[in-house]
This record gives sequence, structure tokens and C-alpha cells, in this order.
Amino acid sequence: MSTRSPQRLTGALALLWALSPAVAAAAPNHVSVLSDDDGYKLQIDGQDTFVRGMNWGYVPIGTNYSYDFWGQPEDFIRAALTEEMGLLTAMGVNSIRQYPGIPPEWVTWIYENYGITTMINPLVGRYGITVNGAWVPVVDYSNPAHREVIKAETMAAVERYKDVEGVLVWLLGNENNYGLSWKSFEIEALPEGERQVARARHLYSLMGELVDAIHATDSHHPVVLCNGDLQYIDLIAELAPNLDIMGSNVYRGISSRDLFDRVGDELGLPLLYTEFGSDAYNARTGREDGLAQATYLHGQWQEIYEHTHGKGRSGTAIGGYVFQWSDGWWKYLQEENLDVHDTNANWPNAGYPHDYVEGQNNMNEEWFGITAKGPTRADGSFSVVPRHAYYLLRDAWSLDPYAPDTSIASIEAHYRDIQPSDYNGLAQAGLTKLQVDQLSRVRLSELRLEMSSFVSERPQGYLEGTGSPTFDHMESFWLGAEATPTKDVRADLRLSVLGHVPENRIDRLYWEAAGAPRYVQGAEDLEGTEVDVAALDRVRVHDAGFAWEHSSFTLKGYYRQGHFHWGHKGDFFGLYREAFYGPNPDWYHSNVPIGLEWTGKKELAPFAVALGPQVYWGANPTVIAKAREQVGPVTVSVMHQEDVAQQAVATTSSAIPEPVSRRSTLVIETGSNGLGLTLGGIFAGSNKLGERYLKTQPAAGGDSYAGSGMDVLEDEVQWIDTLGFRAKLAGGVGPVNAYVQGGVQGLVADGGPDPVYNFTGWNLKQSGRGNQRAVVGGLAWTPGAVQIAPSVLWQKPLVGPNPVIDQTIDAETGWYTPRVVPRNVMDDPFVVRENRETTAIELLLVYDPTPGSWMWQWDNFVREDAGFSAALDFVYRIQPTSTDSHIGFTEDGILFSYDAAPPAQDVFDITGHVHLRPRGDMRLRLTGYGGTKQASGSDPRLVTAYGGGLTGWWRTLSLETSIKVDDWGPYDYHRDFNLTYPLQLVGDLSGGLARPNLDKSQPRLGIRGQVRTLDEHSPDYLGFFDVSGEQGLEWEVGTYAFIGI
Amino acid sequence: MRLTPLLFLIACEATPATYVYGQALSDVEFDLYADDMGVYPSDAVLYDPNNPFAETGVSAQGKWDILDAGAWPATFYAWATLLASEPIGENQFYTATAAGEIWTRFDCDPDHLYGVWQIAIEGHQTVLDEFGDSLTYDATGTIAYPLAPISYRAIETLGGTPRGWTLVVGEDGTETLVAVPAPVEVD
Repeated sequence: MSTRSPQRLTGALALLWALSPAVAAAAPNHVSVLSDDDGYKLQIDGQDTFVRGMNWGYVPIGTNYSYDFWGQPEDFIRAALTEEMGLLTAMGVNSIRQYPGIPPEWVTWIYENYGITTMINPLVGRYGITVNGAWVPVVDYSNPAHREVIKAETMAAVERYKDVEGVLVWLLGNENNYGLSWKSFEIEALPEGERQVARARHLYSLMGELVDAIHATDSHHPVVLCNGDLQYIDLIAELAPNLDIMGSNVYRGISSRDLFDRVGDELGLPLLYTEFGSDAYNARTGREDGLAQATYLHGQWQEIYEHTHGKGRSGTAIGGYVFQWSDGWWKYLQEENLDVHDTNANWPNAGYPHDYVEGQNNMNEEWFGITAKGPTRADGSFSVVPRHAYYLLRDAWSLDPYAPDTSIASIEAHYRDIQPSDYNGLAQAGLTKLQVDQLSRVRLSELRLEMSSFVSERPQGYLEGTGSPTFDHMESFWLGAEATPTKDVRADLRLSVLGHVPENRIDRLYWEAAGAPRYVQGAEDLEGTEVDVAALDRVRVHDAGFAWEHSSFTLKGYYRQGHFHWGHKGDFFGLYREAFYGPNPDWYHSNVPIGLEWTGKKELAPFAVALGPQVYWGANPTVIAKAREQVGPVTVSVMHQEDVAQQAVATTSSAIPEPVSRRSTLVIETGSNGLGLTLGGIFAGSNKLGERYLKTQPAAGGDSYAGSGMDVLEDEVQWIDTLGFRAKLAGGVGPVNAYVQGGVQGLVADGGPDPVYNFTGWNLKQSGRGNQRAVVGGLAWTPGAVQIAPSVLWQKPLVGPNPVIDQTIDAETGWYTPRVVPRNVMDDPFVVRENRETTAIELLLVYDPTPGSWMWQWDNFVREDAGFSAALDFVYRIQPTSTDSHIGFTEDGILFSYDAAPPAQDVFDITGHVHLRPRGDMRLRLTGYGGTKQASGSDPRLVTAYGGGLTGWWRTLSLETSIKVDDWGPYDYHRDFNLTYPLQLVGDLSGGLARPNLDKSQPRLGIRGQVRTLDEHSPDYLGFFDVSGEQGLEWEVGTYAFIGI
Repeated sequence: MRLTPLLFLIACEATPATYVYGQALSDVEFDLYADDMGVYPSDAVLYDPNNPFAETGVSAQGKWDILDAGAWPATFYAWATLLASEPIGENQFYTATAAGEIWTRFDCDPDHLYGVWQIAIEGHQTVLDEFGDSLTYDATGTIAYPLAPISYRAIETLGGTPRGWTLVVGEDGTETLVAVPAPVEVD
């Protein structure tokens, strides 16, 4: 039993208070705008305050916009803020800009500990909003529903922060005038030159309404508009008359010329720079240039000082927020090259003449930091290295613009005494980094050691089953290198080096297996033991790639590195397929994808070309070209694919190269008022014209072929068989989004799979293969966080599959009727496979309170920011007929066509998952599935399988478990040959120095176990022992250590 | 509207499908597509456009039905097709036997007679060299016959000379093939 001392308790509470951000805020600061004949001043609690602001954020290298700093564990946030705010304070920063994601207690904590206020910035739909649970990326400011959502979001933010100590002002939007691109009947009816103004009126009327609404709710904090420069300033004056402060993102170069005067004259408001500055990369020389950046900021701040209250000029300036604190390595491409400091200039700006060349971009979006960003440490944190501008601004801001003796002359003298070049010495860290950058033109990007051990056992009665445990081990090493030979070219290479490769893994196919011992048949040593010939594949290139960012194009080369599809860029028929395959190419030792992708820029922007030996798995050596252009109200895309040779290499049955073909498509897209219409035509397989094929149909009566009840006919591919047409209509009204897509594709008018998600994560998709008529559609009703989304699919081949009709020989007449077999993709011009006759229904139920972090993204386990989200999907497929033949591999790797196909059979599938994020350092995902399914090959046995899994991350620990009952094994041949295990269990527990990541590149130690029971349907069952009804058992337990940098 | 004439033209050009009824085995003619067709390990017969079984294969019962029909060119193609996909002694034996029957019966173009004779000889020789232990069974599937001695005699019947083997008849009448040692070359 213990007693509590009130005094000790008070001390403990005090300690807790000191360790935690403020739980309950003190009174809000009263912020006001002082206006008199000399101009304007901002006052906090009655004190004049000149805003020395910073666009501040915390995004480590290797992450992007989806990184959730405020979702990190509290001790992590505190440590990061301590380091960053300390630097900001030392420089003189007194305010930062933040979106409403910042927890209010941290606003107060930053203010109380560093004296730094926070400008709260609701985005007013700038990057999309959630309307009735559905994500709308382009906001229609004329849409009452959109306006209501934005108002509700904004006012919710106001309610959340208005009483929080440390809040400075409200900032509305982020240059939303640059994102006015929605289409509607009202807008499209206007002459082209008036459309933008019409859209802008809707934007600014909303801004005006928000200003009034905030004023009605919060009397302590002024409202600032974040406009792109002064565009539509007349509309701002007209439609937002009660605005307190004009805010502007200004990139006019070293001087803003008339900007201050115009704000004063036309709006009668003070001006706050909400973004301005310069990048620190010289696009002309291809080098980091902190000196130039500091030069621009020097001039910009001097001008701001000169326009402050009482200097005899406009008097409108009240300060500004420098853009930005540290470099944003994610900004170019945003999803790719996150750990590469891209030097691609994104946009041109003649206001920065030191590196401007007419017709070329010079603004490097990833280099706007006044500090350079250091490498991400194991715990996810980083440090920054100040550039010239950091030190320059520190000294520049030492002048108080509101001091009685501060005048234009003293400002000029002050700034004259501060020259950017004075900070060369202080920026030595930056120069050092520059040298490191030089060295990093070739750098070691990865060095990883994987050491594992395995104990396993296979039962007798199965191939290589000994009935006793065996032990083996594996060493696998990885070396990665990156080269940047010029500022525009980047290349990377990853080598795999093998030590010992085990022979006792129960899963035989994996990357390192290529280096397993090989025994030479017939070559025995003196003791009669087969000779082990060490495999020569000890050092191999795992993947490589390069990117060349030319001013007129981007050229990428990829070898075993994935690439995206063009489905959103006019590839309606899926000719250029996405090529991300997870571990599969490693399992089957496939060198895919391999090719080049060229994408035009500027005047070449409509064009793109992809070519290579195998640009996606199973592709023939091919060239794919695309042109896409806006023509009036429609977007027209033309594509052509020409296979230049037959693919000689096939490595897995799921990606069998089909005979050489050619395809052309024409796609027209248009849309208005939230409705999108896509029309497409395909002309494919003309090289198959005249090829003959067999088809069957029920006998009309009398004799039939070999007494089968069927007539057999021989036909040939004709022109009409090369044509196809497809249409898609998609749109939404209120909480309902829906689409319908359908078409007809001739026998050989083959396209690829449809990679595009329509509104939600439906499984039902139209097959890309020719020989079909199909209609698919879905309706997603999202009343709030819940989504109910039914979908239906109907498809039917134009020519059905061939059944097996055995050959007959009439012994008396010697009449012979040849065997009829299902077609296959190697020998016949077309087949019925995924385009088999199907009527399917799907019901998808989703609970996702944060649709912005999309549930169907592949890495959603990392990205999902909801505390709880879940989905349940049910699919039922009615399949009244069979298919043609699948292609399989023999044990020796020889391709063959199955002599039959699975029978007509209805199947169903239920899948579900629950994602939990109970705290910042913990993620959990529960999955489950069940259903019936058919083999790809010829085995008619219907598999009824079910299972589930649990994946969890907590701090540095990772747990992955799964259970499968009566399901196929992991490889394609399990599905082909219908090889199932009664039970499969997998468990993997690991810990490390850092939090887990998806590619397991962080140092980790772990233990992994796998158990499978076997029966007569399992792989390698020899049949020598009757195991029917009994269950053998194979298992494997291993430990592993992954050590990497 | 303008599409209609185009579709009409396409439709007019279309060749109507034709019904498939099969064919008389006796109509199958032998064509010497390759000198080694029907002799293991050649799979040339699979690419022979004259082979009616190249694409469809031959069923387990069909091969016996074809053999019984006595149409030797068809029999040759059927068993040679089987041999190409399943190289066992029985398939090689009946392929060679069919070739021998074609030669014996002059059942092919005279220009191909010598070729088919060679195929028969080499086919039986391959039974000796590659499939010496192979058996075939009677219709009941219970009584086994070693193929090699039959092929040995078939070569002799065809006028050829078995190479590398001699036939030894035991006291109980059983026939066994014994390898003949290669002659020692004397300098």
C-alpha cells in the first residue's frame, strides 16, 4: 500500500506539464490591424508585431506530402520541434504557417517555448475536398454542395483554434486562383476568355462569405487571403469587402514593383507576403546556389521594410513568410524519386534572371529551402544545414521597422551593410554540403546484409521428403550505387551478391535460389555422390534504371524497376500496362520489365513513347507510341503498338507471351458538370487476318461431330474481327458516384487489362481481351464515412470456347474425326479465358472517415490516417460456360497447352480488411477472405478456401501473420495445377533500431515460421504412400538479420 | 451513316465458315517432310503440314484404332506425333513399323520410297539403341513383348543390317539382344 503526498503529486503534475504540450490553452491572443495615415501595423495583444514568418514543415527525405508529422509519437515531435524551433528562434522567426492538421496543444507549446505564433491555414478546397465521403480532387466553387463542405471544414478549423494561445491569423486558401479548372455547363457556355473570370467570381464570393463567417465567430484573429499574386484584385475588392489583410504568394523576383501600392490603393488593406523567396539551385549552371537565393531575399526584405508603416511609402507591408524553411525533396514527381534531390526545374520565371533562359524552366521546386535537408536518420528524424539566407535574414531582421529612428535611409544603410557574400564563411556547412554533392555524383546508396538460417522438415511420401529436420543457412548481400553524371541525368544500379544458398527451404522459388547448388546428373565422385557444381550466378544485377530530364523530354530506362500505366492519359484499352509485380520477378527470375519510356515536355508534351524487349511482363519486344491533345472541348488520344518480334522468354504461366500483334487505338474524352464521357476504338491483330480457327456450336439436328452433339466449323480471321469499340460514362451527383462502361471487341482486337480505379476499389473490371461483348458499371453511394457500392458485370465472348471432343475412328469405314481441343494463346488467333461468359455482382461496403488517404492505395497500410477504417467486399460470378486452354510449364520449364479447361462453374469471393491506428506509433491491419475458385489449368476440382491475417507495427516491432485453409500455395503453378494445402500458417516477428517500413530496408532482427499440412492435393505428392485423408506436415523456422545502411 | 457501306463491304468479303466432318484415314498421304521425321529425337513431324494429328494429337484409344484401320500413312503420322511428344519405345516401334509398311506397300510417292525405307530402318535401330528395354502389350494389357528383338528382325526383313547388336536365342527360345563390342582398331 502506498500513500500519496499532495506535494509530490503537485510536483509530478508539474513535471508532466513540462513534458507535455499544453493540454488546455490559455486565453487566445488578441490580434488586430492598426490603420492610420502612415499605413498599417499588426498588433498582438496591443504590441506592434512585424511578421518575420516562415513556411515551415517537417518532411524527411524519402517521404512526401502524405507524411504525417503530427501523427508521430509525442517524444519524436518534441525532439524535432526542439531542434527546428531552436534554429528558427535563433534566426529571428516569430511566426510559422501551418495547415489545420497541427494539434492545438502544439501551437501553444511552440508559442510558449519559442515565442513563435502560428498562422492557421485552411486550404478552402485547394487540393480537393471530401463530399459525401467521396474525394473530389478539383473543387467546383459554383457547386453549393462543395461550398457547404468547404465552409463546414473551415469553420470547424476556426472553432478548433480560435481560443488557442499562439494563433496569429487565419489564412484562407493557397493561391486557389491558380486551380480554377472545373467544368460546368454554366462555365462552358461562356466565351473562352471569360470562363476563368466567371470561375474566379465563385471563388472570391466564397472567400467573402468565409471572412464574414469567421468574423462572426472569432473576434481575436484577422483573416488573410492567400492569393496567387494580385490576380483578380478587383474581384477581391468587390466580393470580399470585409477582408482584414491581403495575403499574396509573390514570385516577382528581387522586387515586387507596384504590388504594395496596388494593395493599398485598390484594396485599402495591409499586405502580408504569404509566400515569397527564391530557390537555391541555379538551373543555368546546374549547381546549388545559396548566394543567389540570399541575394533575392535580401532585396525582397529590404523592400518590405521600406513599405512598412510610417516610412513614407505605401505603408502596407506588415511582414512576410519566407518560402521555405527546408528543401522539399518530394516535390518533383511527388510519388517517385523521394530520396533523390531532383534538379528538374518545374516552371519558368524571368523575375529570376540569374538563371533564366528564354524557353526553359529555371525554378527548382525542390530547392526553395533556406536550409538544406540532411539525410533521414534511423528514427525518421533529420537535421538541416543553413544556407546563406539563414544567416542573412538573421542579421536583416535585427532591425526593428517600428523603432522610432527607423527610416528609409536607415533601412538602406542597414541592408547595405548586410551583403549575401558576407555569409560565405558562415555557410561553410552549405559549401561542405556542396562538396558532398559533388562527391555524391557516384555514391553508395545501399549496403545491406541479409543473414538467415532455416530449419525445415518435409514428410516422407512427398518429393525430397526425409521425415527429419534439416538445417541450412543463407547469406545474401545487396549493393546499390547511384550516379549523377550531369545535373539532368541520374542512374542507379543494385547488385545482389550471394553467399551460401540453402537447399531446405519449403518454398523453392525465391531470388537467391538461382545460386543454389546444382548437381550434375551422371557425374559422381569416387564415393558415388553426385558432384555439386556451385552455381555461377553469384553476382547479379537485381535492378537498374536511369532518368534523363531534358528540357524537352524525360527519358527513363528501366531494368527490373516498375513503371506506371498510361490509363489516365488516354490509354483506354490498356496497351501500356503498369509493371509493378512485387516479389514475383524475383521468384521466377524474370528480367521484367525492361525498356525505355520517353515523355515529351513543352511543345512535345502531347507525345510519349515506350519501347523495349519486355516493357511489361509477357510483352513481346514492342514499340508503343501515344499522342494526346486537347481539341476544343475534347481530349483526343491516338496510340499505336507494334510488336517487332516474338518474345523468346517465358518465365511464368501468368505472363505467357502471345503471338506478335499490332494495335491502334483512338480515344476521345470530354466532360462537363461532373460527368465524364470516354469513347474509344481499337484496331488490333490485323497481322492475324486469314488465320484459321475451329469453333463449335450445338448441332442443328441429325448427325453431329463425332456424336458429340456439336457441329464443328472452320473459319478464318476477318477484318471485322480486328475492330473494337468501348464507351464509358462516369460522374456523380451529391453523395452518389457512378459509372458504366461497355463495348464490343472483335475476335483478335485484344487490349490489356483496365488499370483505372473508378471511384472505389471494385474488383469487377472489363477484360481487355478481344472476342467479347461486355458491360460493367458501379454505383458508389457515400452518405458520410460509410460507402455502399454495388457493381455489376456482364460479358460474353463472340465465339465461345471449344470443348474437348475426342477423336473417333470408324474401324469399318476408316473415317477419322480429329480431336477437338480448347484453343490456346500460342497456337490459335484468339481464346476465351478472362473474357469467359460471366454475369457477376459485387457489393462493396466501406467505412473510411478519411477518403483523402485512399484505402485502395498499395501502401495504404503506411498512409492510412484514420483511427479506424474497414472494407468488406462480396463478389459472385455466374459462369455458365467453360474457357479455352491455359498455358503451363512442365517441370523442365517447357511450355505446354492444357488439354482441357475448368468446367462451367459459379464462384464467389468475400474479402475484408480492418485498419486500426490506435496511436501514432502503432498500425494494425486485419484481413480475411473466403470463397470458391477454379484452377487455371484443367483440374475440375472446385477449391473452397478461406483465411486471414494480422499485420501490426508498434514502435520498432513488426508482426505479420497469416492463415490459409484449403488454399493454393504462393506460386503460379499451384493455381495452374490446383495444388492446395489443407492449412498454411505463417508468422514473422521482427524488431530493429528503427520503425519498420514496407521494404524492410531498415536494420532488423527477426524470426519467421511457416507450417503447412499436406494431402493428396498438395505439391510433390508421390502417391507411393496413401496419404488420402491423412495429413503430412512440412514446416520451416528461420531467423534473420537484415543489416543495412 | 458513312460507316455502313464500310461494314457492308467487310461483311461481303467475309468467308463463310465451313463445317468440319473429318476425313477418311485412307486419304492421308505420306510426304517426306524431313529425312529424320519419325525417328527419335526428331520432332519434325509436328511441323509437317501434311500431318493431320500435329495440332490435335492422338488419344490413348485412337492410336490403336488407327493402327487397326490399316491406313499406314495415317498410322505413321499418328504414332510419330506421339513419339515427338512422348519418346518411349512403343511409340518409336510403331512409327518405324508404319514406315516399313508404307515402303513395303509402295504407299507413297515413288520419290519418297527410299526415304521412308531409311526412316523404317533408323526407327527400328533407335528402338535397339535407345529403347532396348521397352515392351508392348497385347490387347488384354497383360502379356508383354520385348520390342527390341522384333525391331532387330524387322530391320533384317526390310533388308537392312542391325548395328551394334546381335540376337541371341536361349535354350528356352527367349531372344535377347547382346551388344557387339566395337571392333578394335589396329594401327
